[in-house]
Amino acid sequence: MTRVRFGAVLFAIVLLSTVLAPILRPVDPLEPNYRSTYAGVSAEHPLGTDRLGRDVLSRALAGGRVSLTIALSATALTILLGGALGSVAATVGGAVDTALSRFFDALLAFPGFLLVLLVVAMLGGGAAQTVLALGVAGSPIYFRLARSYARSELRSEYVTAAIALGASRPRQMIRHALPNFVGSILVQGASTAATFLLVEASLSYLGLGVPLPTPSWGNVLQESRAFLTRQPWAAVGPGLFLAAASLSFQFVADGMRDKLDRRS
Amino acid sequence: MELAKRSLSRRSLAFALAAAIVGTLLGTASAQTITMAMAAQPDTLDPQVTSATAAFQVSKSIYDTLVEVDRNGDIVPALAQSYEVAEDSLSYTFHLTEATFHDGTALDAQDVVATLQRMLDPETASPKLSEFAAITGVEATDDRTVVVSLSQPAPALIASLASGWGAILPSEKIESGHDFGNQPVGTGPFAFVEWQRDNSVTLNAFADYYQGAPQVDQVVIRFVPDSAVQLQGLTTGEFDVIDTVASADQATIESNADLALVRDPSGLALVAAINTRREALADPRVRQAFNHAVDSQTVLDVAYGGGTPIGTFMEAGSPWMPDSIEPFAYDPERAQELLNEAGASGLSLDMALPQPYENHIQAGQMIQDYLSDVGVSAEIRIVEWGVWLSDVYGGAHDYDLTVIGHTGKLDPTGRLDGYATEADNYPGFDDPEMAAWLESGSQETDPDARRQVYTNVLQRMHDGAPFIYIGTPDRVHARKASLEGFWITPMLDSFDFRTAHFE
Amino acid sequence: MTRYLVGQIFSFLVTLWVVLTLVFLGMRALPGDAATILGGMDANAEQIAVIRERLGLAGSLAVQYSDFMGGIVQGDLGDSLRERRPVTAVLLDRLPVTLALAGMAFVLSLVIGIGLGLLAGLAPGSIIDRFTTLFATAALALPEFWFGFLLILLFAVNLGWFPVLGLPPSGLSWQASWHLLLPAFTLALPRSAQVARLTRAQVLEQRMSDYVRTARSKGLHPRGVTRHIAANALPGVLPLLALELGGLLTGTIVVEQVFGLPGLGATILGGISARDYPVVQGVTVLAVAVYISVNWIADLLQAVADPRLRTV
Repeated sequence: MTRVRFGAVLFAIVLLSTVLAPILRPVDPLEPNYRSTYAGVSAEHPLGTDRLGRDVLSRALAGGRVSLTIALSATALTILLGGALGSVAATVGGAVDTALSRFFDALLAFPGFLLVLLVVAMLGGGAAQTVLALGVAGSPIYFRLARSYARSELRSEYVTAAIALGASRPRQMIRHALPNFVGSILVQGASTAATFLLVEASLSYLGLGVPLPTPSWGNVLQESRAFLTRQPWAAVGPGLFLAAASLSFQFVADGMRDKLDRRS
Repeated sequence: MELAKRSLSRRSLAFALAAAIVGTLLGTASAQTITMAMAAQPDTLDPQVTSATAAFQVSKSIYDTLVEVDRNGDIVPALAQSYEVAEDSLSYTFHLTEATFHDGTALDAQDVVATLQRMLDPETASPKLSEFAAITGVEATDDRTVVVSLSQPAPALIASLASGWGAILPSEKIESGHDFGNQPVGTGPFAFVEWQRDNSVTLNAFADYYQGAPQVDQVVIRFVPDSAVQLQGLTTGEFDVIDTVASADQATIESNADLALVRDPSGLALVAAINTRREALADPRVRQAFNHAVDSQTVLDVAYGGGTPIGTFMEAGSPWMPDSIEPFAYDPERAQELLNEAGASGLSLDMALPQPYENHIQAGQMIQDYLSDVGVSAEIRIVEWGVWLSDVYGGAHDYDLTVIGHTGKLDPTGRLDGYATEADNYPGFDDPEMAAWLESGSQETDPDARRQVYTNVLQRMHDGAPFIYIGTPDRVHARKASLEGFWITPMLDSFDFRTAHFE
Repeated sequence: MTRYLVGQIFSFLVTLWVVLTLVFLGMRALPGDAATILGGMDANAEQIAVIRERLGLAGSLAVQYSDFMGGIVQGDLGDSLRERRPVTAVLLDRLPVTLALAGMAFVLSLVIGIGLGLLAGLAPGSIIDRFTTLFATAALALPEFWFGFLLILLFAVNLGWFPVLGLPPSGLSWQASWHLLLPAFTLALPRSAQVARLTRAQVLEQRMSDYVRTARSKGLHPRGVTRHIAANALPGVLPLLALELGGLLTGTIVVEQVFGLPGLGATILGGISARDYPVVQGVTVLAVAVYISVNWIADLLQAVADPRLRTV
């Protein structure tokens, strides 16, 4: 089985289980049970319970919904942001191009995780703020990609000819350049999604991302840190889901990258 | 040649013998250290600029006060071996005992004068200034006598002087603007060695301590926020005493013969504050209903590891807690009745919880659950400590419900001051009659009359219910079974190592 | 050449200035300030105002900004609002822990990464090769802090070989390196994966090259060939190593949290929640400066390793 297929299948499993969780596992992730706190693995609670007696498995699944939503929407945002601005820079050129390029260069010079941490902290933490911070922090790569693709397309002979014949630059660019860099954007995007997933988890772990009691993979792991010795499955379980999701993205990205490399 | 050699060898033999003796002596005197793990960290070791319990828990061993709290909760002489109150209650005369500061200087009246003046100085910005506000003058009538003059009777003054913020500092260091926050110097049983931020504080025994040198050589206090890690350290022997024990671990410790679990009542009053300014929460019946809706004993047991419910704003076990005031019974039906009476239905509330406090967050979640049983929905919002202080506790009071603990005070004024005036307290409780009582209580010198005043105040706080009264949690700590003599100060909850030793 | 250097220094300074300004403004946008927090629950508004005055937070934003920037230019990072002592002292206190951790992690990732990469590249298709590729992908996908949990569970809790805690009471010392081993390993793993991947690719490329074929056909002993391959492959890996080192500084933030280590990560997180602006600003300056410098070095190494990239 090729890596892409394996990754895609794994991702589908993870995604479906988190989305269908309310049906497959109709246990409320927020429902406490003070009589069975820190309960171990059992038939009723395959991953045990946490310090308020909540079912860890449903928290892991619910957290997955939140974390995946954030990671995927942040990826979409960052591609749009970087891609759009990159295309604009290439099409318009001149001072706009220089200014935007300098800005994104500066952004790139900044240590990524610290940037996201500071932005989220200054926005006061939260899910939407995390998406925004991730979107901004990841955009330089897409800016560069889009810009270089747009520029090379615009310089290509048939586009130059079309423009000489009176066609508008933006339309030519969109029609010809776009399809080509969609491919590389997808590859990069899968890799970005994997990174964002882990960064969001880290931020929530530090208490800066998704606020409790809404579960996300990160903050569920942070809560479980306190009773690592008592109920290790509360920590291991959600982590497995996170690792599986991240791994699936990586496989997809790697597989697609190989395919693209072979093609070129 | 021969002679020189012989004398040389004799001399070297003498040296060797001496070295062996000294070495043996040093070797047998092994340093005894107590390592304690505590969850919170002090923000500073200057006793006059902070109100954080953690700061006083550490500085307890470094400083002394004029009077202090003993194991029974009574206020007894300390640096002041005796004191008298004038007939008109407007002046106190303290007679100092002999004591030495860690820097070698001797305690004299000037030190007390300088300390109190520093406390009163607006530049110090002490959060405890109001407790000393009645002082108009401090004078050293001789080397061992201090006279404190007041503008009005202040029966709570002795309690303030017995608290951690009444610590006596050396006058020469005060004059030179010494940084007590990072380099504390006091008369206490242990002298400050170093403070590795976020890691530990190291204290060495002070041989010239006026109550006698401590029985161990060193105390190291380590900051470990994780109760599981604290327990781990206690089990492996890395820690000798820990201050945080999760309820789930109590059984484990009790069944371990090498460890001892100690349960004392703490001085905390845990409450869920109700913002009475909000229209939906203005009716006291609604607030009483909340009290009946919550099973406070279960909340105490699950979130705080055990405790005693309270019926008003005073810690259980306090001599000021009136016997006549019972905690609200857990009665969801009664709660529903009261809500219906008040015409409050389908309430939807905003509960802001302080992020650093795991147990308050847990309690808040439990309260949310109990309230939903009587048709009141509360949405939880976890806020950062800085935001909590500036927007929930202070500022615009942006909350409907919040959960926090109020630390123990030796005198009811410390706890109740300001709670009758809307602008001065965070639940916005306003009661002019109670305000007048508080005013008179702070100046009343007759003990019986005083007690009656505060009983009235506390009854009013029960009936008006600006809080959901959760209770006083037990202060549970665990130690090695071989460690004796360590105790936690009643009501003030600070750590006392003076008599601690290993059996 | 000088124009290039000057240009680089200039853009470095501009970036630093923009970053500092953003941090300055951003921190102050948060509700609550250090004065409120230091005042705690017992201080009244007047006292908080006095504290605010003393901390230098009472002036207008413009005044505070010029004071701050003026100080930076002279190399003065200000005083920590929480600890009431110079930020430089605070940073110097915490830096050793982070440096030790980053250093150990760097060495580990180097040893593991290059080791695996060499072995895999020299024996393509073998078990080692397949394991390395799998390991690389898996290691990159793994959430660092979760991996840290697993290590703690296995080695510290179950086997008891390591302490669950951060540092020993005596602070940083040689015996403390035992305490740092698990966190260093946690940090090293994803980075060693990157290094292994690149090393492997470089080795493979070398194997395909002409001189290797020539050497082999000449009958040169395999070990000699290997030595040549390794020697030629390694320079290509240097730029990545430099980059890794730069990223390690901020990578320690989460791992320090997991293992309870009092390093720079704990400092900046504590600074944010205590609204200790000078400390947050100080750590940011340090992190950005190190990161940019290391990237610079990586670029230089890249140019040195690959003459084709030299533009000067």
